[in-house]
Amino acid sequence: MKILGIDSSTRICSLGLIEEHNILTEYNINSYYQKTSSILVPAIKTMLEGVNLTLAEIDGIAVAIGPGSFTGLRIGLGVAKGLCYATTSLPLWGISTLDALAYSLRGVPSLICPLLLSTREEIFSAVFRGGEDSLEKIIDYDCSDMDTLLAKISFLKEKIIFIGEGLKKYQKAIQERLNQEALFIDSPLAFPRGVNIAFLGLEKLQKGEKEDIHTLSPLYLRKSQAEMVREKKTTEI
Amino acid sequence: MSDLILGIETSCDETAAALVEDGKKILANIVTSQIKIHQKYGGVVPEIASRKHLEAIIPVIDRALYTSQKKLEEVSAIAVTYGPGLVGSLLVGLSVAKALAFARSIPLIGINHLEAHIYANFLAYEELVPPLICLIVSGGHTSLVQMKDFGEYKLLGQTRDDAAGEVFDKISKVLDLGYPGGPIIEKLAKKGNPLAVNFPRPLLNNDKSFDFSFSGLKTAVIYQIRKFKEEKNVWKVEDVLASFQRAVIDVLVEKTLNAALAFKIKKIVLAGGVSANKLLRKEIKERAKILDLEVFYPPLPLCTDNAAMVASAGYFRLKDNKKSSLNLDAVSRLPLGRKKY
Repeated sequence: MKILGIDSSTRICSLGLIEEHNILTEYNINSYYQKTSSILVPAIKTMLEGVNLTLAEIDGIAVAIGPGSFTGLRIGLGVAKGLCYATTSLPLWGISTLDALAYSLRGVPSLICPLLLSTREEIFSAVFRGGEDSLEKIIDYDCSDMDTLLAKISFLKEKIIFIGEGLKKYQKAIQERLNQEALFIDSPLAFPRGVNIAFLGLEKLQKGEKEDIHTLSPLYLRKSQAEMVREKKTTEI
Repeated sequence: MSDLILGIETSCDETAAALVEDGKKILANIVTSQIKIHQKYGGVVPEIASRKHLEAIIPVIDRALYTSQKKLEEVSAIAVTYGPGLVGSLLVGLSVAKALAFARSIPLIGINHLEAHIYANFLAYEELVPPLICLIVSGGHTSLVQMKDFGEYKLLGQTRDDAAGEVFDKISKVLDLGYPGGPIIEKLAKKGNPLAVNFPRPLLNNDKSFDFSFSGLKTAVIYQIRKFKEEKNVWKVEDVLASFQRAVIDVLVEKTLNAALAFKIKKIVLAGGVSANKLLRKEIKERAKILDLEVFYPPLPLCTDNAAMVASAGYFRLKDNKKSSLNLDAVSRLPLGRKKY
């Protein structure tokens, strides 16, 4: 089974192609050099050509549904939906970017907290319990400030690993606040990679799951600014 | 062999897909509008628009294929609007279009939204050919363009501030009348006296350029409304609206006719949402007739944003062998007529 994984939720546009438990090819490009909106489809084309495969030879597409950059997610989902619509037999799976990030630490028996830091003072997070061959989500996806997140985590009283690019600046604050041991992985590799998305898609395929391409939507976790302002006004009245 | 083009349009708040045969025959023209959602905010909220586009895009394309009784396999090319417009919105249609073109190995044709509006006229009038003077006027645009030939444009002038339709929207918002302002104001203005208030006709006198400017007029109208309210005079909102509409139409008509005369072009086409305004249509037609000029405007469903016009423009571009690359990006301020395509 060959699965194409697509992530365009961060500034790294990341593609991966796997076959069962092997990586066939991986493609990461920083949007600083090539905008994701420009590069995504040509990159898929180049990547497939590189391994001598056509879209028709793929068994499914897994796409990151977020949380992450709203525009980035829509580009990824738009492309993935288009590809699957045009190739009617091609199943589509939506994968959370936080699952994909936690997947980098698969096999580590610990609590794992993947973090995606947005430009605002908001943090996308979730907490997983890592087992030998599993990742169980124990705190659901959320968009909050660091204080709210830490309040939830400190209840757990177990060793926890934070993973996410750019979390160094929070390290001190986190350590002061928590009662438990905390490890920090702030690495250029700590982003939701296309291959991880693909592996998680394969798991869904094996479970017999499949999304409806008509309705699959991003996991925004946050309303638009205009909606929030409007709701605030309504409640004040 | 006929050419079947799938057109996709998501530049503002309408998600649209259409199937057009040989650039002229509309087999399906599906438009879903988000107006009801944006009404609450008094205007289009870009982030909400982008979200709604992504939800609607596949169902709308599916509906267009179903309505036309065609399969995607029969489509010869994908034409998609890549600007001008809201970037987040444009990217939804563009991403899907690129994926469809790549997956089907068929050409992708990026279309300028303003050019597409002009093509609404070619869909409606079989015999119409350039050269033309085009007035493209909507909630997002006010441009006067000389179309020398198919695919060859010269921008003569455009708004320096607000688009004409935008001013209708803003005045409607000030008066709490609803969104979009155009049709609402047009209806109320019918019951008003267009000579009640003498609003300025911006850039009309002593200005040889074909540019427009409506923000001063907007301020004058809003100021007048406040003044009336403060002075507690007896005044009718319909009179203010009729006078305002009159001022906008005077400017649009005058500049367009001047352009036709200056460039010795006999045919004028109107395009865009504001070209649905009945008074504008009537006025320009009557005045053009005196000058021996001909005026064309699309039927109402083709005035506002739709994908049939995009597909039609795409067909002519395809005939000209002008295809886009798969790395085409959305351009929010894409100009029309600054360069030869």
